[in-house]
Amino acid sequence: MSVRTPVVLLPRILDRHTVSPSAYQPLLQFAARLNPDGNGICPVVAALLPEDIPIDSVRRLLPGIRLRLGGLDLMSRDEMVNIPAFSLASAWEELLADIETMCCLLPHTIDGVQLAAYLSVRMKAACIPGVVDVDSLDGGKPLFHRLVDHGNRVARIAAQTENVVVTVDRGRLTMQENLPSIPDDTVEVKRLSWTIDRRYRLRDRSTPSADTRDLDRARVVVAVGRGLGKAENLSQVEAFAATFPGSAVAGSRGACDAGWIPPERQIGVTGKSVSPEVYVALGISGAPQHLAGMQSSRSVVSINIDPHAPIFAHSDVGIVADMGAFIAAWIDRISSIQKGKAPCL
Amino acid sequence: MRIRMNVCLKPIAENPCGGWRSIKDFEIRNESDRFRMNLYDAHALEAALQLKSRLSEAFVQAIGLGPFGTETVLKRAVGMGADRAVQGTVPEPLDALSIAGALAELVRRYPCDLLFFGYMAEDSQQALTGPMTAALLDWPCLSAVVSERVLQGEDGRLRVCATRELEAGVLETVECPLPAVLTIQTRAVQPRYPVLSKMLRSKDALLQIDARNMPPLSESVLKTVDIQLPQASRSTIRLEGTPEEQALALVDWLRIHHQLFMEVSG
Ligand SMILES: Cc1cc2nc3c(=O)[nH]c(=O)nc-3n(C[C@H](O)[C@H](O)[C@H](O)COP(=O)(O)OP(=O)(O)OC[C@H]3O[C@@H](n4cnc5c(N)ncnc54)[C@H](O)[C@@H]3O)c2cc1C
Ligand SMILES: Nc1ncnc2c1ncn2[C@@H]1O[C@H](COP(=O)(O)O)[C@@H](O)[C@H]1O
Repeated sequence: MSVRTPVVLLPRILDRHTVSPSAYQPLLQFAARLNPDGNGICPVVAALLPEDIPIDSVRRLLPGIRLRLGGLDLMSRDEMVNIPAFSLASAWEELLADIETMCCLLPHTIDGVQLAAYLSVRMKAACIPGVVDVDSLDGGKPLFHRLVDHGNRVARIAAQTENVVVTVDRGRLTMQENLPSIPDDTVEVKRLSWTIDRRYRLRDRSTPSADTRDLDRARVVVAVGRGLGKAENLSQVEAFAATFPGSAVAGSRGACDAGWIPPERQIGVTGKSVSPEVYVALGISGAPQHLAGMQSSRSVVSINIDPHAPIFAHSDVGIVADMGAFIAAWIDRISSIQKGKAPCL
Repeated sequence: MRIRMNVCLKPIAENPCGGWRSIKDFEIRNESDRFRMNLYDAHALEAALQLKSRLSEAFVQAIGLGPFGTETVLKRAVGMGADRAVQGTVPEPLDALSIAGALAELVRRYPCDLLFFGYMAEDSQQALTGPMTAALLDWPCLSAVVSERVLQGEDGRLRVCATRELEAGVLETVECPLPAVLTIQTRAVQPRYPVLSKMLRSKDALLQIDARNMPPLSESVLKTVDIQLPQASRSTIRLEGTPEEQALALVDWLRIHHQLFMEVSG
């Protein structure tokens, strides 16, 4: 009987022009957990390599790990970083075609999910995106945990196919002890015949250039969400933020899409990540994509009218209130404290 | 240039299990009688309608599949400006692969040059159906698109040029030939409100697919074993009372834990 193995795909092995697989360490640890009874299967790590990157350089960075490398002939590292990631989807398919996989693991990124969906169709395998944990029933099939129902619940899901493609949400992985893995230094190199999908043409790629260093430096970040209701309420939020020393104002994607907060001040997956001493979330529901940008803040205070808003599970202080009423009471209180009049608790 | 655009719309149950309200009730119920358009799909429809207004000849068709709520959502789509709406019934909520299979078949029956999806469904949060349908049709797919335009390539064929928004706000502009799939991310342009007069005429634009004529559905490849509340990442103190009392309690908490507002002792 052939034994199926987990395969970890490294779709972005180049960080700019340098080989850098370090970001994938959590995926490797996660893959090792798919064989809890240590049946000797070491996850395979798969990567596509442009012709001007020596295999040894990858070997050195990933010692003791079984590697499956796809040689992209006629493609240089310069070219590889200048094509849309998805142009290589069929190359990935070819690289994995002759491996008996039990699970293909990709990072939970926008490109990672798109590639996972493609591979799942081509490999006739189930697909589970945004996996945060794994366990199994009686040592049997893995049960993958992912958020469902607007992010309000965690479901444990089993694939009904022999192979399953998952994307692993590194930011929300439940941390577990590292499992010892058996070192395996096998390197397989496969020359690929099918490489770039020429239907795609990259026209431009740009990183945000606006200066938002004040958000990095701020002691207190006051972030506002769709709960603000209308643009006119923003001045109240600014007055609220001004009561804190060293504060800066930011927003959720909801607030930025509404045009209340400039897009470069959006906090979350597609925005900035901040880790201030205090993060105050006003009228923000707490979507996983927002949490990703603020969960390393030292303290989180959230104010939301809905007592069941998911943000409360990720806050040190939860205040159920209408944000307008709360801010009015706050400003009133702080100004009287600052005048030295009001008693403090 | 004449362009046909299909937009896939998923009905979303309003408050399917009441947020965290029904703590003991782990079942996700789908029999809510109130449905609305998925936010990402509303942006997808808006994108198609805006493209239509910029092109000389274009036809926008909405497609909705579901056991529930499709009529509400498709009526709204017609109210917003869709020329036709295709409504299909499936017996139960399906996994992305089955829905993608049915949608790919419907696209063969109701052809288009551009196939729009929302980036993801707000409830299931998978972001799979669009790229899976593209893989089944063997069409190129651009995901998480925040702006798009149609242009003519050097060979005279139509192409789509779209800007995708990726992690940390990186913007990537990619071009590919039609037919193509786009999955639409939310953006600063708010989806338009439906026009009442158009909604009232929506019956004429609604095309219902008879159950017998629905494409065969593939079996589910996923099995949900159980559903639980997610673990809290922090232990939360709730500050109760009136806003005034809550404000005072927060000042106090910030003093103790962050030495903020220490300047006046009161
Ligand atoms: C690929 C991808 C990337 C994304 N990237 C990001 C990102 O970088 N950042 C981000 O934020 N989101 C991101 N999102 C979107 C995310 O999923 C949510 O849609 C978004 O965070 C919601 O914003 P919100 O909390 O402001 O709005 P909502 O979810 O609408 O929440 C509004 C909240 O305000 C509360 N409220 C309403 N009225 C009041 C009131 N008067 N007083 C107090 N509270 C009130 C409500 O109870 C609710 O909880 C991304 C999504 C995708 C698919
Ligand atoms: N039942 C459905 N009917 C029509 N479109 C759907 C359906 N389910 C999903 N979609 C489309 O697929 C997108 C992504 O859904 P998902 O893969 O579930 O996150 C949605 O935004 C819709 O555009």
